[in-house]
Amino acid sequence: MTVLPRAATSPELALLRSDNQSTRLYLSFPSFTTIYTARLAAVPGSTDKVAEITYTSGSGTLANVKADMTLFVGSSAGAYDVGIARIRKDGATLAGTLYIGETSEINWPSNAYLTVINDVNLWPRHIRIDTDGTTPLMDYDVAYTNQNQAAGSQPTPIMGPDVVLWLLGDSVTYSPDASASWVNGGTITDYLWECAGATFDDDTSATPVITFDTLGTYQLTLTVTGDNSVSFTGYRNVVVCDASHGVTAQFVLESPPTGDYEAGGWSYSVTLYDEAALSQVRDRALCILHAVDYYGDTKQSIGYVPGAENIVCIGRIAGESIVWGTADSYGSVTFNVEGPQYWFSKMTGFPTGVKDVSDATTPNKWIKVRGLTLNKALYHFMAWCSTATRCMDVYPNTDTRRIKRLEAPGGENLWAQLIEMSKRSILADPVCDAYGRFFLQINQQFISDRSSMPTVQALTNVDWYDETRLERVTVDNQSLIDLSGVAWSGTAATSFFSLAPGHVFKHYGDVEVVDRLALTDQATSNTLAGLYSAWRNNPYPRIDAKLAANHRLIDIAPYQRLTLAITTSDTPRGITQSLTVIPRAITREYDGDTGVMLTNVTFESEVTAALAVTGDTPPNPPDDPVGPIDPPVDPPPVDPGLPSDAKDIWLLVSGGTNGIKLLLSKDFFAGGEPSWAAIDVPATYNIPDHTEYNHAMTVAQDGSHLWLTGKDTGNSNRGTVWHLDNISAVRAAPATAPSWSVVMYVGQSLTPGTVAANSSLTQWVSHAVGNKLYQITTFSGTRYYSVHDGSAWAFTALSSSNFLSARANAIAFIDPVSNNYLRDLSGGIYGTSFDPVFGSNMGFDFWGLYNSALHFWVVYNKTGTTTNWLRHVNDNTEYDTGEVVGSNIMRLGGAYGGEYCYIHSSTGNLWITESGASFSLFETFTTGSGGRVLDAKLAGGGKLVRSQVTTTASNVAIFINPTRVAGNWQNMNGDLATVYPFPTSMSIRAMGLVF
Amino acid sequence: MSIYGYRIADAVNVTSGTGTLSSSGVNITGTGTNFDPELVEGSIIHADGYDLVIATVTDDTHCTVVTAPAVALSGATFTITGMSNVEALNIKPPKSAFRPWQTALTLGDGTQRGYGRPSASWAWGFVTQAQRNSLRNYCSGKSARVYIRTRKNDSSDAYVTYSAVLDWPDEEDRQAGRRLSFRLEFRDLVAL
Repeated sequence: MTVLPRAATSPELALLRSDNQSTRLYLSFPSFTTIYTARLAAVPGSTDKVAEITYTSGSGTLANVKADMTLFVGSSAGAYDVGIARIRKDGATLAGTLYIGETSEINWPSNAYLTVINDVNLWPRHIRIDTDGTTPLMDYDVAYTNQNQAAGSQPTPIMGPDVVLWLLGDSVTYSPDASASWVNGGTITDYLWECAGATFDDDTSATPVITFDTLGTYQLTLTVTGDNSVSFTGYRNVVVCDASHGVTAQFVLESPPTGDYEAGGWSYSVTLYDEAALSQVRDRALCILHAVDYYGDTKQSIGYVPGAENIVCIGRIAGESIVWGTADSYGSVTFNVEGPQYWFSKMTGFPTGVKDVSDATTPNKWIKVRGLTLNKALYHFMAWCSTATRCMDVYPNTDTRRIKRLEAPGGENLWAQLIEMSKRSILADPVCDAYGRFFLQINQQFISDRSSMPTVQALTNVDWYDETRLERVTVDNQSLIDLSGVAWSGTAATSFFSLAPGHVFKHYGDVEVVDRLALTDQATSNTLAGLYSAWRNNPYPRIDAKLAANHRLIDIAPYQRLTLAITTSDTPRGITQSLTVIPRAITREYDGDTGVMLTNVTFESEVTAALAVTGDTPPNPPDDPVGPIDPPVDPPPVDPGLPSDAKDIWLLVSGGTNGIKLLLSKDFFAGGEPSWAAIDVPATYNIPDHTEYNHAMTVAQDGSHLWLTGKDTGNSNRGTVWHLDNISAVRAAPATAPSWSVVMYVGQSLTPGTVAANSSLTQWVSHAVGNKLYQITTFSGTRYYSVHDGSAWAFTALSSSNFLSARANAIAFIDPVSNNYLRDLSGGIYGTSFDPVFGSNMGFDFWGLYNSALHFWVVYNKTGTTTNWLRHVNDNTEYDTGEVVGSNIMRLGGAYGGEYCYIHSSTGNLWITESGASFSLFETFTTGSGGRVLDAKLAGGGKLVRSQVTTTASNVAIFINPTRVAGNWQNMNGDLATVYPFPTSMSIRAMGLVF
Repeated sequence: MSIYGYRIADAVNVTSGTGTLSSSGVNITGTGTNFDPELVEGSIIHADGYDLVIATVTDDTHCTVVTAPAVALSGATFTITGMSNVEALNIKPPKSAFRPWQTALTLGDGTQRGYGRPSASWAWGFVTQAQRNSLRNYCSGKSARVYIRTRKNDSSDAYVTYSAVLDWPDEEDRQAGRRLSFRLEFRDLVAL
């Protein structure tokens, strides 16, 4: 079946321009068949989250109950007064149980009547998180295996719309065309049609001829199989009618069928009288408006879908207005009938999105797609988030641009999510035609080569009546289009920037930024900018014409165009213009008294690319312009001196099959599943011996530098500090081994001396505070306060009398910028006065984050107590954690503004405070199976990050708590297990955040 | 046969035809049929959803229709509508009018195009109560679907048989047991 409409033929043009055009409209409500009946065996324990029910007294053939059919729940046989649900699995799955789409809206009465009918409708499929709290499942219990890969992708049947056939003669034939059926990454190899009561010339052909010889409603079934051996079945309805069966003419078309490109589809309303009580006219009933058309004495319908030319508009009843007439008048019911776009917009959707994974990566989750394109996202969305591919033609988007991720965080319903994903990536729009077929097509104004788009008709003066109104824009709307985006190869993104018309504004209009697009190259980016500019400044954005014909070759989708020539003498303005126009809104006006159906169309003039040039690359272009704009961060940052949210996260990991690695995620805080990249550590690097290795990797707050502290296996396991200053290059190409430099090692001769080789220095642990590295270093017996700023060291000698230990992890740095407060294990003070009451055991850790307010915290065993205390050094506020001092590991995970995290790893207790004003137990973690919490950090923007040891590959390693609400943790492993395989165990040795 | 050809029939009351029909173009061949005398010129046969006007009857198994069915008949059963000449109802031939369209629109080039199906009317200066009642048999309510044979506007003002909707007048001007200026309107004419 041809996707595109077609040009009117010469005979059709003659008919469209003939006298005595008339139409009789009919409504058909397909009469669905009852497949199975039963009674509710047991009332579910709760009305909430019901996904299966048990039944008794079943009647019918269970094997005929198919997934996505409709279940009525009623107080009497066949009734749906209690509710309507969707069958979730084929009935043969388990006798005695009906699996239904998860629902909380049915108050199940005891012994309720259950009726399964073969109405396959548009429903949402909800995503659910499995009981492990991390694994997403589709449609309640479908785990991801390989559905997003070519090997597991479901085919999408394209089998035409629901149709109405008039039985004139012994039989009537219908020839659907399924050759446009498709499957991601493959081809359709097999077709199998079924239609009980009908006969096929070849039921395995893509284009069979089906013969019907009896009046009634038929369910037409097509099972398509891809070359991946995956099959999928679609359903359509065929009504075979005559004047007395299957149709009603007793109605008034209250509002005419109207299609609107912006709205995304069609709708109409009808008023029924006696027919309103028809049992088929139920809530959400399928309602087909069709016609018997005459052009003079020629009885013929002119449309662009073969076999369905008589269809005017298809939809389902979305609402009704009931008129309770007085005794001497008559009541009526007006039904609103809406196309698929309406139903999508009424379906609340969970936040959705998919992301690309590299060609070398096998997607292992629902949200991951290798070689992500808009079409692959469309398949994911339509096949797995809804039942669309079952009941309507979903045409593929043929754009091949690879996209790093597609998300719709702000879309509250499925339609809004579709728009969000498609508009923001490739300027595509979801649209349904009058037949209820779905298209996700790039706005044809943004396609430079339109040669394949059919010109339906060249409109002349004999094709319209009354008056044609042209809106002519003479003052530009946009003075400058600033368009940008990236071409994503799967491993690298190349940014492109374009300006239309150029660097100088047009005389009038506003500046419009169009960013985050998926692009191909600079030339097409410039062309797109030119097209976008031309469209926004379209001189003829609206042309209202009343076409003097019953013209159903014109629709709002898919691609099509008409031409309209205006000569100098046509208008008082004296314009001479040959326009190619695009139908954007269509109304099929109908007068039931006269039988006249005419076509009012609002066109938009087609544009060609305006001037555009290559734009300027900003100093710091966005890293990942592809994708939606991030949603507002909530809550706002506590300290305005800090960025609102972390940007990158770095991990130092060990235990996996690839040894010690750095892992980087650049989208960890962007929402959705993160992607990770593994980065080589120095070839001779080893983790320091001391258990407090959580500062073995430290990264500057602004991401400019990264230091590794540990043992150099190539230099007698001497304590060594490695430095990495080309982080931006590493970040852009993490697969390339970075260039590490050693900035200090035991035995090295530096000014002021030789780095001492004592036991403590084989266990170096340094601190990055702000954008510098701080540590205590011993040179020839003298200890120095050491600061590395990314290029050189600065050393300040310390009084040895005040220094009892060189263990850097026990050193408190207090305001290193101005006051140089330092404290060692014994509580000795360096610098100006400081008066804590630290005991002899000053805890095990300290962590501080440089910022405008400078907050520092220290863990210590307060004199006279047996518990660990926390002190907010700035104001000496103390908190007793109640955690008994002992061998348990305690660490300050991170501070952000005035806040900090404190983890007691052994007990799993996470303590948290905000702005030093309170201190409380936030949550206790039970990781089980040998896993334990390693670290927790505050990431700004109200977020918490937590890491833990894993003991099996399935253990989760890292989490985010986006709202800082206890229990609201999300698994952020993403593709970590693929990037860094850890079949047995893994440990996150250190974690660093870049803001 | 009257010199006038105005005929009418309701679209409800039909009689079953004997035998079955097959067709080739306008030629109808019967099997086990009894065309003579079941069919006469102007009768309407209904088969396979088609309404076909009999043009000629040759014998019991052969006849022709005015317009061939789009899909040939093959062993089709059929019913028959017999048209009644208005004079057979003791009603004088009406003064008829024919409107080939319902409305006309002025096109962009200044010409007009007619839209909608033809309509027709039959008018009498008066009809008697009995004549009125005879006509009322064809439309007991506000309107009814009927078949009529009436003149169209062409070079010969030819009679053509149509399917139509008969609208009964909202008001009737009674006078001395008669209806003055009595007029029937036929809409939605489809030539058979």
